[in-house]
Amino acid sequence: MIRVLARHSEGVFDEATFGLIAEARRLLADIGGEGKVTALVLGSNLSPESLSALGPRGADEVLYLESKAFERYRGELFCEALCELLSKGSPSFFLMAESEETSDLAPRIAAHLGRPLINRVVDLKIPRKGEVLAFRPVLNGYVFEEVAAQCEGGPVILSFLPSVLTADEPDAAKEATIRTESWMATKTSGVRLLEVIEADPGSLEIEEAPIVVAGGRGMGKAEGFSPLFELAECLGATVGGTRPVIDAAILPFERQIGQTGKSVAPKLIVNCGISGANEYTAGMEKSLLVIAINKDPRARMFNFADLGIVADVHELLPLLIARLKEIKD
Amino acid sequence: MFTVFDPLLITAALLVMIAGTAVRWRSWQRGRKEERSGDWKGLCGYLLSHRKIMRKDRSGIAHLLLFWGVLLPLAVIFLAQFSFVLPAKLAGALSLFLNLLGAAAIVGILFFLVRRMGKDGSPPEGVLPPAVLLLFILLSGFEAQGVRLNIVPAPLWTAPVGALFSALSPASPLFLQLLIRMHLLAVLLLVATLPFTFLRHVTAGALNVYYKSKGPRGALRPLAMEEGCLGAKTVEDLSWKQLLDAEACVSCGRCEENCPAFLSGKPLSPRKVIRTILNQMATPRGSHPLLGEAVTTEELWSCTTCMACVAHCPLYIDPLDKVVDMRRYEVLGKGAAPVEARPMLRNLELFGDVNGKSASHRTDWALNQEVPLLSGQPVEVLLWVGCSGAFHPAYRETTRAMVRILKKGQVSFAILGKEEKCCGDPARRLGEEALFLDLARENIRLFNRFSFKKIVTLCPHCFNVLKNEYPALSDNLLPGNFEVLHASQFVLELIEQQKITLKYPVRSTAAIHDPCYLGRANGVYEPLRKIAGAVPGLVLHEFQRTGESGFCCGGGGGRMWLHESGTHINTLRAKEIAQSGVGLVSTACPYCLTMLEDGLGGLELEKRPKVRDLIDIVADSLG
Repeated sequence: MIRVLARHSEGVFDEATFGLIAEARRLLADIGGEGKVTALVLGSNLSPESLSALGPRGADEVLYLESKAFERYRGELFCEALCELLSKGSPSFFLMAESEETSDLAPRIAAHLGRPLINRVVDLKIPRKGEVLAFRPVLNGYVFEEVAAQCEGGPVILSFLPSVLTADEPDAAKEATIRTESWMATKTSGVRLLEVIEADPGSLEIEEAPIVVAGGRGMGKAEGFSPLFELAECLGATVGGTRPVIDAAILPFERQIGQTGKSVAPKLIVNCGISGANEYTAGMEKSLLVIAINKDPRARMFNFADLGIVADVHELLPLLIARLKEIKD
Repeated sequence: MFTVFDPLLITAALLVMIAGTAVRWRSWQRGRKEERSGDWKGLCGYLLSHRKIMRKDRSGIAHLLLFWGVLLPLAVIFLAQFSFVLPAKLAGALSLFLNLLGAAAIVGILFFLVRRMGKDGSPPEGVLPPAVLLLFILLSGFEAQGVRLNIVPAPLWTAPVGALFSALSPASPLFLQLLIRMHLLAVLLLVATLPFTFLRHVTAGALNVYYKSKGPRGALRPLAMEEGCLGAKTVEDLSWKQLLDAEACVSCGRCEENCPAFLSGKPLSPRKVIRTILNQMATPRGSHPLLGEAVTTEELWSCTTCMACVAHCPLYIDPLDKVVDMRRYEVLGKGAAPVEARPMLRNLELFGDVNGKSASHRTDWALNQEVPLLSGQPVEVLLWVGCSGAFHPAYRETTRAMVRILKKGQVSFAILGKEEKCCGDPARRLGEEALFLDLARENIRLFNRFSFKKIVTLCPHCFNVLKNEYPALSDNLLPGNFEVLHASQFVLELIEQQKITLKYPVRSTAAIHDPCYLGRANGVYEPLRKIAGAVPGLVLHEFQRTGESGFCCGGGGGRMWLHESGTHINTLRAKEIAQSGVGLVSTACPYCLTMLEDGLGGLELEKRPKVRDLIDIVADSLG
């Protein structure tokens, strides 16, 4: 039996969770195929429809633990609830995807249960029954180490690097049995949640920003950049620039993308007025979704774009911003 | 005219000089061991021709005048202490000659004094006293002659300068004696203080020329890692020859005047680096601060390793090898490579190329090109593609152009394909010596597996490393039975042997931008010009800074991966190009191509000159 921690944002599960379920299925097959893959969901006010998204991804069972306390991540409570669940039904593995929250949660659970934890896992092997061999990068990714753990006596806790998790195609025919339980904390927590302060995208390190809006020489001089900043605000994006932009002191050096600046790999990057010299693209090639806006239809930037728009940025951006504002309202 | 005290005085002066020289000697002998052989012929030729010093006309000529104007009269005065008789006519001619030489020396010293006064910046310490002393010696000599001529007349033609002085001088034997004493004392003072003033370059400079490097200029010195040396942390980590370099420096500033980093307002000055080392040599062992602090990291990373300082130093001083040794300590000793360069170094380590595209994409440029891969069959030419040639989108075109040229010339050639690795130049110039050695050894092992006569490279940096640095690797893996040529040299051979003909005109006014690692490092200037001359329609001009004075594009020494603040070096060069009015800049280096293209792009010119690799131009003109 394998348990998986399902991560969600207000009932919407992320790709890493689907990938984790796929990984759990492979692991289940490796250890003989017996048992179930159970997704553990902690939250409050989740709709049954949102929970049913996990079945087609491969979960046999969804256990939804409901509590007002689960609105936001809180280490003590999450740990208590999950330890209760894990001590029942003798699961052999508990899988989660590496994040800021699980970096806190995984060691808590491991210590609480007195079970082995392997974090930053990129690959798994079952060399023999009752043993698991995990691979993980160390020394900044220069080398990989193998870590072995014994499976007897309780669950082995494995935390995967989300970048290696790939989801299987959803199979609409599959359905998971969904169980809902409400949960009450038995202990009083010493931690109180006062306020949540969201990070200001404008001040995020460009390497950490999930959305980047980048401007190049084609944006013109300093005043030409105002639509770019406006677009970034609409998208909740961080602004970056090419080297000439930094040379012209429109943006500070910390915001330079490219060979002599920072390498970024955001989920979305919008390149405005950037021709796409090798020295720039070297710093953004690994971005997930790339949009390019340029006047010149032969700009090299378009070779990298998932969506290329041949247009003058100063004509297009105001329209785009107006539309984004409309949607927001 | 000698008194009994004179031998004593002379001995004392000599003793002080010898003791002083010994102190100085010890200060530079504290460096690491290094094998160097001397070269008498080279030193004599250097002094006689003054060619290296005369690279800068006016001060060169002033030095020439001063050098001979002091040396020859000194020799004659020394000989005159032995009694012999010359025929009157000969003696008269000699006198005239010495008279004119003395006057020339005065002109020389006055030139230097005036220049030094007008010069801002930091003149070396101890220049003024010996210069004034020298002037006094010369003037007192002439004045003594003037007084003597009033007492014992001689024909005007034998001492025209002395005669000028005599017009204003008394005929007093006592005054004459006084002058001669003062003249002698001044000479002895000069001799005694020689090691303590600027004039120590007479000995240290001569020694430095005597021990000058005979290896290729482009080759960096190996790092004594087996002795536990990780680069230059203190002056003791430098070799005695490197310290002698500093000892010999006269702070003339020619390095600075040609340094692209200095000229673009960066904190680096090769002169200051050398002067800092010189100052630290005077401090007691172990008491001085780290070179990394006296010379800041900003200075170190500003260097483009263009070798302009090395080429222009009149005393064969090499500021570059100190900069690289200090970089090595930054990287190997402190693990403090510049942040921007780290992804590139990591890419080299993991993937063997600067872009991190990995070996599987190294031959993508050759898709559908039918480029033969090196196998068991011997070939004439191994075409070394290099990282830029294989991965850089613009330079891939040049690689394909080269393939077209080789095919047209029916050259038997092949490439190493996916097994080729970065030559190691960016790592080595950034101080990552260990990584360089790894890459170099892998490539050398690869060379040893195949049979070919020549390696032809497109990139001058690869060319320099393969030609000059691989053979020096201690484990001596390289059989050395092939020659390394740059593409321009090989293409010129093809043109001269009429294996290819350049038929189609490329109508443009063009000028050659000399890549540092082709020109200054390897002396390859002519092939570029000869090839350009063979292209019909091309009208060749020269930039103001060309050949050995060619101005760096700013991309070498790993600078291609570093952030540049302030005025950019490539912008300076681009402005020079724009002013020259040529329509086409022809270079032969992927870095130059990118940097100049970018520099010209930033100028927002109405008509932007094109930047092209010479190989592309040849391919366009190919009949």
